[in-house]
Amino acid sequence: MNNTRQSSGKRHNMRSIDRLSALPDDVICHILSFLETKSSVATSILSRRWRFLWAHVPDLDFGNECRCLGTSFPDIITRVLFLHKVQSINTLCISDTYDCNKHELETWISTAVSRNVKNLEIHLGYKHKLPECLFTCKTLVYLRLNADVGIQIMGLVYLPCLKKLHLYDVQLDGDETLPHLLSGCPMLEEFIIENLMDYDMVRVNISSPTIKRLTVNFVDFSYFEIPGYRGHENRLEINAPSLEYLQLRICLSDFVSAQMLTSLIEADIRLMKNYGVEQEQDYYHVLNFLDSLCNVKCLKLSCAKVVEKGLKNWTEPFQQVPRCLLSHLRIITIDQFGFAEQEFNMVKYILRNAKVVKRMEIYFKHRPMIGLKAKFETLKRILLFERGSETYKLVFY
Amino acid sequence: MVTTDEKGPLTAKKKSVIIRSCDGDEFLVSESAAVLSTSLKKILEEKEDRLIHLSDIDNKTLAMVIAYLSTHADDGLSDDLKRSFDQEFVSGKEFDVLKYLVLATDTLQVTCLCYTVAKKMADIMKNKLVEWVRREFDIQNDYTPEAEAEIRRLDAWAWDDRQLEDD
Repeated sequence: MNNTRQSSGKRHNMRSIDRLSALPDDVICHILSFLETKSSVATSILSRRWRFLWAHVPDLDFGNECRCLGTSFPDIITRVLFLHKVQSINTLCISDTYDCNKHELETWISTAVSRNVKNLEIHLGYKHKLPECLFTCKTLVYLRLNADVGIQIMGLVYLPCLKKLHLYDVQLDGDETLPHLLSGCPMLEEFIIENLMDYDMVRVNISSPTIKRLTVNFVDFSYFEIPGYRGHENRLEINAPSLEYLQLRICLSDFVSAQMLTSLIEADIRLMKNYGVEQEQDYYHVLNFLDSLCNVKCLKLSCAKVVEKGLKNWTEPFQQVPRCLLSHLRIITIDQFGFAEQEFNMVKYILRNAKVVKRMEIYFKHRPMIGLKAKFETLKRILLFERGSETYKLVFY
Repeated sequence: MVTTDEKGPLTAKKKSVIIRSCDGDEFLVSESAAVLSTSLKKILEEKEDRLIHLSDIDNKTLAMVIAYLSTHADDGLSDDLKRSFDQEFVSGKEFDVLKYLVLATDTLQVTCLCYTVAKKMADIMKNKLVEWVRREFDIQNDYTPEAEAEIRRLDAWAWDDRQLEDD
């Protein structure tokens, strides 16, 4: 690259004349790396020096703004990758691949892998198969896949540097795909799997000695009222001894089991209710699971969906009080509080049994519509509840 | 007594360095702030005396960089406060000022500030007209009209809307 850094005492004196032409190429490329690839390529019109500066920018972001009438989107990506001069691609982000063919996708991913890509984000479209080289990429640190289609991983998985893996809307072919994928990620720290799709039962088996942050959000069917549809049955098993943060969106009737969550200190649990499941004993697994969160210090609970969908009564559990409630919980957040009687009962139960709680936060449902008076009444009522902890702060949002 | 003190690990943090700008003015900076710049850290490791002359950074820019370094060296401030300081720091600054800052932070290897400034510059550049960018970057258009037309033809997709469109 042509480095045009100039000596600078001079620059100061000539400040009004000299200006940014003094910026070296690598600094300009750094600035361009924050632009979408389309805007970065557009700078080639500025002058001859800028003609191919964009080709040295290590970040490539092909968003939908790259789509235009004249040139096809896949042709644009292929051309840019062909002209691109960087040996180590930092980020490759391809927003949507619905109009590219199998060979194009394979070529781009293989090119990125051979150029030591670190961060890869791809929204997969119709009928795409991921090339095998992606799953043995030695440089990949972050991988995000959005896919409306099944992901099949036949061959070896070995991603020695991968720290973050995000899967959205994917379908995994076969129950063994996920364990197979995770077993090849010895450095994985963060795993997000959201809206996993399947036809009847969704099984998620997460086993990793290194994961610290985990999000599992099952599809929330409460937005769709499908006659006769009883919802998915989800089955979640977690074995992650290093886990520190967990976010879950699960149905009360789902099967969930977790082992050794001893490092877990923060949990965000959103409960949903499945249609057609009424019997109390169906909730056994989830309640048991909540009990296994033994060392959690911050707990966020969101039960509004359950209340809305007709859980009539909230009775205090017969079992003994969960361990975390008694001895570890410092911050409790109740999300989407909707003033229902069963919600007050739950808050009452928590406050009586939380022996070391320092702060309780309540986020109201339909927040802008809640008047001061309703908040005040709620506050008065909650403050009268028996409390297990001597001093705690109650905060409303 | 001074000599023994200087080698003690506890007093090491409180030591100061003097940084001189290309205008000749001198700034007194704590060593803990100075070493947040990778280049200054290297210089301090290599030389004995505590005076560093930066021949390519002017007063105004140096003062800003030092304010940033001192804030980030303050152990009393939370990371959240430091982050909001960073946002404040670049907001409202003219493009011209940011150019000197990005160059100074690149030279001094203050990675975090360099990132924030470069990102801010990119944000400002977004959706700007070609002539604006040429003016702010002081770029002489040395294309022939034919060459420019050819580039526009080859990568027509890059100019098909408002972005970097000619006025």
